[in-house]
Amino acid sequence: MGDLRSRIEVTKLARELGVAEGEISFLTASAPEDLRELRRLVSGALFARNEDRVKLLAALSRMLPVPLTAKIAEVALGPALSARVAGVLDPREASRLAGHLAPSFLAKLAVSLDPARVAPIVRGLPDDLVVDVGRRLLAAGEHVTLARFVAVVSPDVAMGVVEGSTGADLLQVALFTDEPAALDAIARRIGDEVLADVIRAASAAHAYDAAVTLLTSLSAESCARLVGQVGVVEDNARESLVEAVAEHDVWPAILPALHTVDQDVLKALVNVPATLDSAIIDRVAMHSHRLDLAPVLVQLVLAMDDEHLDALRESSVLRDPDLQEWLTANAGVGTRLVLPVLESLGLR
Amino acid sequence: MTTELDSLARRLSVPPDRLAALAAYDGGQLAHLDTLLGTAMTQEDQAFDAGLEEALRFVPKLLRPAAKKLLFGGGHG
Repeated sequence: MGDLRSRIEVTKLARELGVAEGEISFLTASAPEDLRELRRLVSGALFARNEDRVKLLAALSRMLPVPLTAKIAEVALGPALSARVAGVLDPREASRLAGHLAPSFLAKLAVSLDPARVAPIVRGLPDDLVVDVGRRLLAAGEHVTLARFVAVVSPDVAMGVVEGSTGADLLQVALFTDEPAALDAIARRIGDEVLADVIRAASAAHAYDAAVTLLTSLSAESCARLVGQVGVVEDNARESLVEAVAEHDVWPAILPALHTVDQDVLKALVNVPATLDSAIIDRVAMHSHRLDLAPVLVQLVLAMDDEHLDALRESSVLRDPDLQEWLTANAGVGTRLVLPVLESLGLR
Repeated sequence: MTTELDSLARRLSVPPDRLAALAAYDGGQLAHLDTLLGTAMTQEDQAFDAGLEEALRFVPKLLRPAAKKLLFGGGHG
């Protein structure tokens, strides 16, 4: 998953440099945090390079009637340079100017905007205009651009933009978002059916790493809602999802969410071929212990079918007396229930 | 720090140690990244050169001398 996050950052950096991703694909060997920092440096350097001229253009715009400034922006400067100028405009000036620019031009301009510089401007624009521009970006497949603005616009506006969008669109926007908290605010507002669409989209595209990345970006509550939708996909898709979770060993992000997941969904998740591997069972048990999630571990065991309970007998971690003592004391059920189960599984 | 990393740091106007995370890449890769950044900067400069000239064409005749002075200073023909 580190790979996927690095690939996402390479995509963003390539856009900043105006080159194809393949030109800098070697950078996927870097940590995503390092690539994000590099992108910030590149963005800052590109902006600083012509900052004086940007300020002069902003000064020129103050000399002229707003409709004429809008014409200069659309015809003479174009979206990329206009985006640079927008970064130094006063929010009120920018808002007045935006009112004279075509939404189609604003959508092109948004692609080159630096959300960090223009956040106050975007927040000052009429919601319906921002939603209009956002929907145009969505229609154009500009997921990276939309993702950058998720943290800048209000959740209401973000919801207006994504209303009616596909699960595939949402998955892409979610993946490219820098701000997990903003993403979570949206996830809390969208319905279960839309979340199910996201899972279907990940399944259809075999984008299980992407689904896992999304799951680990969300709060435990939103993660639980998303996991709760896995019943909508085929058995092999659930298997692939569990394999991706195991491969990236992101159980610490997933396990807390499983506490509130419906038992039927839990059964569908737990009883896939991948979890017959005692190494995976050991990792789950170990993380559950480390995170003090005894009730979750009990839920998982109770959801297992006979074949998986047989596999459980091979777990070395579950034989550990310290773990058994912890499990017995914290399972949330009586000692008289836990101990016989461990004994019947041949684990004590 | 390699020469290529130093060059990239200069172009980004940051101390070379800010790019320590890139030190594992070979000189060719760093030089390529430096070239791409240089090209992006040149393209941006050219876009501004053209954009400023073009913007001036839309300024009303009466305001054009003042606008020209603002955008290009006194020395612009």
